[in-house]
Amino acid sequence: MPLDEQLDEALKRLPTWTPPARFAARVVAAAGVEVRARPHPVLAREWGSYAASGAIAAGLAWALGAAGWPMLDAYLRLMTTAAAAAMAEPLLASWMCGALSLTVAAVATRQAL
Amino acid sequence: MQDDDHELVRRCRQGDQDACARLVEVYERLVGTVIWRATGDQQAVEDLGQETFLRVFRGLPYFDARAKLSTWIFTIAHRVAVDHLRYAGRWREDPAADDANGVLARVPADTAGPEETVARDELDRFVREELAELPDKYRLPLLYAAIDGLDHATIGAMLGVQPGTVKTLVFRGKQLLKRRMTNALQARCRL
Repeated sequence: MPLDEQLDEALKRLPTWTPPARFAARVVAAAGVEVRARPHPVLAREWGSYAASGAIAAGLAWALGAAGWPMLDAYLRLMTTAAAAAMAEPLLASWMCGALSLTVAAVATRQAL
Repeated sequence: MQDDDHELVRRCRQGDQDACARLVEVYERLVGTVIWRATGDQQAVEDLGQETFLRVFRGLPYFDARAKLSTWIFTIAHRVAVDHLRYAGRWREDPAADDANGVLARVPADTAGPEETVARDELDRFVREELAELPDKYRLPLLYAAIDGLDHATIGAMLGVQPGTVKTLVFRGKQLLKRRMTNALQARCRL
């Protein structure tokens, strides 16, 4: 058999590791502190982003309204932007959902005043 | 990421111990094999495997759900193995020597006759000795590529190189290994 093939066969014969009994249980017991439920920092950061983007959008809608733009027009413009963003980046879409919700609230509040 | 992995990660993040055990069970064999191949130290595989999963659980809250879970876990296993070698100052030490009496030295018997088995065992030992002498740049890709279940894309992510580079490293590693084996055999014949 050519050396190439012998080499490939020898490499294939390198054994794989067999975990000892109850390895997983021992690992989980050792990792007990790490795996306990806790707030998800990424999620917390995302919620912060939602709030920030919502505040910016609400401020923008308010400013546009103050400048004489109809609130509905401002809202529709933001909706169009959000739809374009949603197609490009799912996370951004989440942010825009937060922004739009707050924009609606801002519009409603301003109209109520 | 596959739905199963996604669900597993979600449950682990919620502190579900059964899900954590399941995650270990799914990946323990390949994680252990990656560590064993990289370090050649069978005695250390269990501890380093445990260390790998501890790092996995610590890192799960920060894991990007768009990434592939298996690749992320194997990359951690690779880093744990390399850290171990560096810490022990054994980055270039002969892995085969550590395992002279270990499982790596024992090849399961098959239907081959006694002479064939002896010849094959001798070849396997020879290959392992020469593999251990290869630069790590070639040794690790070659050893990882021989693991059933690891593709070039995964190995590339583990080593921080492109899949095409892995293919090149494996090819060059094999060429280097062949050259070393040929030289060694010629040297033996001259004796």
